[in-house]
Amino acid sequence: IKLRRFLAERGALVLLDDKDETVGMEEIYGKIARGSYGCSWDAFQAYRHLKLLGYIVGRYDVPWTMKQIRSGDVTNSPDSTDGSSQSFGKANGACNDITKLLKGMRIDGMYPTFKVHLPNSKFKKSSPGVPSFLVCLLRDKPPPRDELEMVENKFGGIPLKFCQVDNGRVSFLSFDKVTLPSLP
Amino acid sequence: QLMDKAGPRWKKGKDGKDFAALAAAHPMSSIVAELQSSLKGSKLVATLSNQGRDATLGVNLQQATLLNRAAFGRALDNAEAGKQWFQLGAEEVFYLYHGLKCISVSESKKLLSEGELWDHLCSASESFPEMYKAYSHLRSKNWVVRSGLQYGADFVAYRHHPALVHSEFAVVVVPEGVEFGGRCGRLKVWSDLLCALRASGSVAKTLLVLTVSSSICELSSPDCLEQLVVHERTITRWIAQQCREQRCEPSREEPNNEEQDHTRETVVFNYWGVILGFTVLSSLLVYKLRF
Repeated sequence: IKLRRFLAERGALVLLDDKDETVGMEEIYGKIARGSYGCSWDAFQAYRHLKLLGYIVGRYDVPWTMKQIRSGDVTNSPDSTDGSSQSFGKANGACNDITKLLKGMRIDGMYPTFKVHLPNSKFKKSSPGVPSFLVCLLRDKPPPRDELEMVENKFGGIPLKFCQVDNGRVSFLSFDKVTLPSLP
Repeated sequence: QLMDKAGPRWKKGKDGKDFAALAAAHPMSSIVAELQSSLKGSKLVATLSNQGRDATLGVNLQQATLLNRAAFGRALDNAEAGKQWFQLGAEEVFYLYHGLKCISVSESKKLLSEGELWDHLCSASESFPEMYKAYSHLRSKNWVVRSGLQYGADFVAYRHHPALVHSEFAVVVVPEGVEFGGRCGRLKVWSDLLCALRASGSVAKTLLVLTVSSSICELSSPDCLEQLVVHERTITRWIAQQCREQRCEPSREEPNNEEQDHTRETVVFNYWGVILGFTVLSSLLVYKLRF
């Protein structure tokens, strides 16, 4: 969803609905505002910020390629209202099926929203490797210590960045657990 | 995760004196140990003010030097020969009394017991228990801890004496737990957290958050100190633009990128402006002198 939206915003993609009529930006933005498919304005802006800088960004709970999906939930009949069977380059047809998975998925503020890889021309969706870091979106209040510990423990090893969006200004913070050394 | 990433910023001495080496040659632990034994031997008594926030301590000149070297208190201007008076903050008094056990404390000419001193300090400042726990936590690791109020923080922490090194951390103490009552803790809203982050970054310090938590512990006596746990966390800003290469080092808080570029441009512009202006002026001067 985000990729399509992102590309649509940049004029690189034209969305067609199931009547083959162009879906305008107004409608797209409307869908974002309604939180359709688990995508929020904040998430989109974070995604956009990183994509524009060349990072490789994917939804944490969505596999990079359809080859990794084996569940029977995936159907090929597009009854979603913004179904687009046209693909322009990167906006692959897999988006269609992925929207099915995203529908009704609840995004908890302290659950990673994105997995991010550093800009890498050799990146392969079929074997992406370990993400460079995960991005959690922050809510209306700073995360309390126990929630931070819980998230860190769940996704141990991969660095976490926390994203706060304020009026289009995207900030990333790290809340690193540290141990100050005992000095001589 | 050990904190050695950003590294200490040692100050520069006259004639290129190496302060890092100086600090290494005189570890803070030995300075504090020397101070401790010197004060203990003299059986000194600090006088607590009746508001309970500060105390004064009279020491001999050798002890004054040690207090200064260990960065405790503030020397008071005083003409008394052979004696130097110091003003100590609440945490410093209690650390010398309870932590190092090298002084006694009196109030209104009466020696205070440990419990009485604790009560006095707690009634003077509601947040004393967690502030003291944080203070002693850092001091016991041989960090130098001073007030951080001028930077909008509770403390600032130095790797050694402030004359030798810039402080690395602006420390904000956050109490956690029912025992701390309905205190308005810091960093509970974004404006406060980002303000603290900004303030510490503008003075090139990393924001260190010390969360002091208690399980079941009454704060009415200093015995609770052993039960309190200190959690260390830093809050740093991550600049996406700067970290696109591998092995990026997380930066200390930097101003918003737009501002940063603007500042950089302004500085560069000004630099060239100065060079240009200087060239023009000196050419004019040469012209004038010749003719």
